[in-house]
Amino acid sequence: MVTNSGSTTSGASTGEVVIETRNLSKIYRDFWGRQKVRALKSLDMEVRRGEIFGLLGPNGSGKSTTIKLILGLLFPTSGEALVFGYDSTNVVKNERIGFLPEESYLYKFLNAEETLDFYGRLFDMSPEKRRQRTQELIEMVGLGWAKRRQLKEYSKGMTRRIGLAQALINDPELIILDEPTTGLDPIGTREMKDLILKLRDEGKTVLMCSHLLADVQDVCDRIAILHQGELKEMGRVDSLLQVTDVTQIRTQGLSEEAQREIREIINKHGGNLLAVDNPTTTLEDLFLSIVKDSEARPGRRAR
Amino acid sequence: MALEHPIIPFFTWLPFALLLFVVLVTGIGAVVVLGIYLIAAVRNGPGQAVQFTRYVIGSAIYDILQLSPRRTIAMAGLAFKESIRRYVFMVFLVFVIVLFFATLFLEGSTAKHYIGFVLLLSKWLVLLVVLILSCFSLPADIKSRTIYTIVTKPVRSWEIVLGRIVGFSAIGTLMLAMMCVVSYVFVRRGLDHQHVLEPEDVSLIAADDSDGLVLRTDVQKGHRHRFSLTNENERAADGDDVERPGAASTGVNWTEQVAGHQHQILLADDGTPTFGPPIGDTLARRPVYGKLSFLDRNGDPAEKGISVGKEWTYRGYIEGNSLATAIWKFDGVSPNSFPEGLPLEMTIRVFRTHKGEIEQGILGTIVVRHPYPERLRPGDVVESAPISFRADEFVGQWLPIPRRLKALAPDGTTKDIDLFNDLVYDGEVELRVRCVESGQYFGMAQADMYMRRNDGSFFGNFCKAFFGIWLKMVLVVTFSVIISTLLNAPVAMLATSVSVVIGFFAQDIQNILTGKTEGGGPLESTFRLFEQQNQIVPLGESVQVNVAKGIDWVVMVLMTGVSYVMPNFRGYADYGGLDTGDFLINGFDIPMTLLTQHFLITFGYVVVVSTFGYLFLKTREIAA
Ligand SMILES: Nc1ncnc2c1ncn2[C@@H]1O[C@H](COP(=O)(O)OP(=O)(O)OP(=O)(O)O)[C@@H](O)[C@H]1O
Ligand SMILES: [Mg+2]
Repeated sequence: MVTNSGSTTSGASTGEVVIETRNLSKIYRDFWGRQKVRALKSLDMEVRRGEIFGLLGPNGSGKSTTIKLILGLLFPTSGEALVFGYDSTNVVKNERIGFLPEESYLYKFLNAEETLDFYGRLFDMSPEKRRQRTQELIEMVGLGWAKRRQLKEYSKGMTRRIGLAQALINDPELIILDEPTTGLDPIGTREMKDLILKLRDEGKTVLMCSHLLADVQDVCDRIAILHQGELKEMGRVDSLLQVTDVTQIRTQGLSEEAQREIREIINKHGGNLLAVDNPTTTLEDLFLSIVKDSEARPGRRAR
Repeated sequence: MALEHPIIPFFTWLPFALLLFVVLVTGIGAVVVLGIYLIAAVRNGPGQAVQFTRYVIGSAIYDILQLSPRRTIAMAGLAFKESIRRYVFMVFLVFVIVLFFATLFLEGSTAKHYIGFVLLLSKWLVLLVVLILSCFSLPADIKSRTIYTIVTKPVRSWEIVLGRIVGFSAIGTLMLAMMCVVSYVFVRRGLDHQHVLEPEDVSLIAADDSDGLVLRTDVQKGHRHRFSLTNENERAADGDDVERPGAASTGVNWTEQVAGHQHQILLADDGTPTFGPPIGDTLARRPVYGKLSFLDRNGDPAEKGISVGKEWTYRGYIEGNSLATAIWKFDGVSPNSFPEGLPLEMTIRVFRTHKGEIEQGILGTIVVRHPYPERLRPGDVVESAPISFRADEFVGQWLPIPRRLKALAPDGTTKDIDLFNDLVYDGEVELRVRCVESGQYFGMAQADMYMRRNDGSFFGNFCKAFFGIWLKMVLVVTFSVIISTLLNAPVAMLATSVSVVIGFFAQDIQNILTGKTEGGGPLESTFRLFEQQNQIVPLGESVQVNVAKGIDWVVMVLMTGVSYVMPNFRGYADYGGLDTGDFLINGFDIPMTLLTQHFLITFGYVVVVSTFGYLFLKTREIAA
């Protein structure tokens, strides 16, 4: 059912490897060292320069765990994660990384400007550069009108935006986003997606995780689907969604007559007319079927 | 004020301190490496443990080389801002309000009480504030996961730890600086007062022969002074000198010393006495100490003076009207350092076996003596004629030895001698004190007699005492921050305060465990407290008692262990104790060498303890 189309829009899949995980596993233990949850099992994946890579999976499937392992916030139980060739616990890699956590956890007692100024100071950049970048980013995320207000007064979406600005303060090569669109209104979501695409066009690498299929389908070049800590599917979005034994016909301004004729033709060939679907539901289908499949036969890579 | 040993000069202290530091750091380092290995071995098996240990130590060294002042200051600035935005300076307001109300009950107190109070208040307020600030900061960041945005930046664990230490110390510093200045003004204003002649005594002055009359000032701040208008120089001649607070003040009349101070007496044109500001309770004396030895009642060298049982062994006693002598040997004495003679000051304790004349001090003598009589030619002067004095108890007594002295010739005549030419040898000189009245005793310790060089500035000394608090503040911040890398906020606060308290009572805890002090562990003590038993009553034999004793023993061993590693937050303990407030309270300049030593001790703690902080943070899974 899955074919590799090979045609790329960005040529990313041949680029240099930015993130690599080898046999990456994580078992959460309690205080006494007893095993609690096997959150990630032997994950092998690569993210290449210039692509937008999506981690997809239901709640609790290990997406955030993977990201935390890659960032060095967690230590792997076995296996390893390399970022820019450095071990994930090496702080040096952070010079070139921007990270937006699942929720924007920032210092509530700072205002937007102070926040960006503070995070800017953690990088090696000149004060002028820092000031300039602060103003640019505040404008970019559309918070110019609220930049002097303390973050404790911010709404969820505003916090999210300043969180994103914070992640970009060092003009990172690799941007890691944990559920970037949660909390954003439809316009904000659109802007976020456009921004992610823009970052890709600037040559940056994006790793994001989400369970919002529409988001993933819209922006990701490649995805990996996780379920209960296991990798179930990985590949280019367009090829994963290309279903070869299904023909999708969408027309406009067709007369009743013509529709009947088409139906007859399909019938004649033993086919079965399907409803006209929004393309996103296709990813939803794929996703649901993988999850169902995986629950029916645990431990196996789907299809 | 009890200075049992002379303060060790800085460069004598330094090599020992460094050696101790190196030994301790090596020891602790070895334990830490072993600890890391063992924990890793238990978690991941011995094979990986070696690798892990090497990795941790390697990155500790690498990360310290990567330490960036810019990032550390950024982290410090954050901690600072956090505190400010949490309205931490409201505490200063509390301080001012408490001072305001304190004026009510301190009114009329002595300088000791005033100074002791502001030191105590500043110390505990600041320590409490920085304890809370620095215990809650990091756990809050970890709990709210704000720390994720920090550790995913190129920030080293050192910088997270040090930044907070610097930031919260800066808050503490600001607060202490403000408290220091306000306290100083408070003490000065609280002590300042002006006496006039007691109205009832005015008529006495009018009478012609006011000479020799004992007069009184009026009552101010709950006290009055007695004084007489006797000619100073006449009285000095019969050896019964009045104590004076300054070397340069000869020829000036002073009131009697009450509440730690006295007033200079100035005569107005019409002959009525007026009084200067209070002097003597806000001093920063810089004593030069000698070495004390004793002769027993037969005149033979003795290890110590005799003990009269009521004091701890620190002070030795000499018997009156016997050959028992206390001998102080001073060196570095020269006309250059003391052009006016020896600016001697002493505090002598008196132990009376009979009342004697209770109104008057016990009579004693001082003899200035050549330190090496055997090197003199026959006929040379060995010692001066005895200079007699009356011992004022508990009060610093000013007894300057003039340059020109009298000596007794064998034929009973007296001749004039010069202190430096005749009795000082190679900068050394001996002063011998005896008690004259039989059945009475003088108690003396080495620090009880000293030469008083030019006094330091009282405000300077005030700041030095606050510097002592500052050091403790930095230590509390350091311990709090480091413990909070490991534990959540309330537990970290508890752990830090318990450690500090153990550090405070280190000596007592050690004494109980080693049996030097009678006492038991927490369970036994609680039991005795409720049963109102004293420490000596046996507890009886039962299983419960033995279990309780066992638990007590374990707790005491743990506490003793902690007591050895915690800094000494109290004064003295051979001067490693960080509290120098007693110097200020007792009017002694806090020696710079002591402050330098304390600073280095503190610095050593900060280095070692923040290394632990680094290790805790580095090996901690932030997101787990
Ligand atoms: N700190 C932790 N301690 C113990 N178990 C944890 C911890 N964090 C996550 N887990 C468990 O690990 C598994 C994976 O969690 P993870 O947060 O990676 O999921 P996720 O894919 O990000 O889910 P979501 O879409 O809800 O964010 C879950 O079963 C979760 O309960
Ligand atoms: Mg998640």
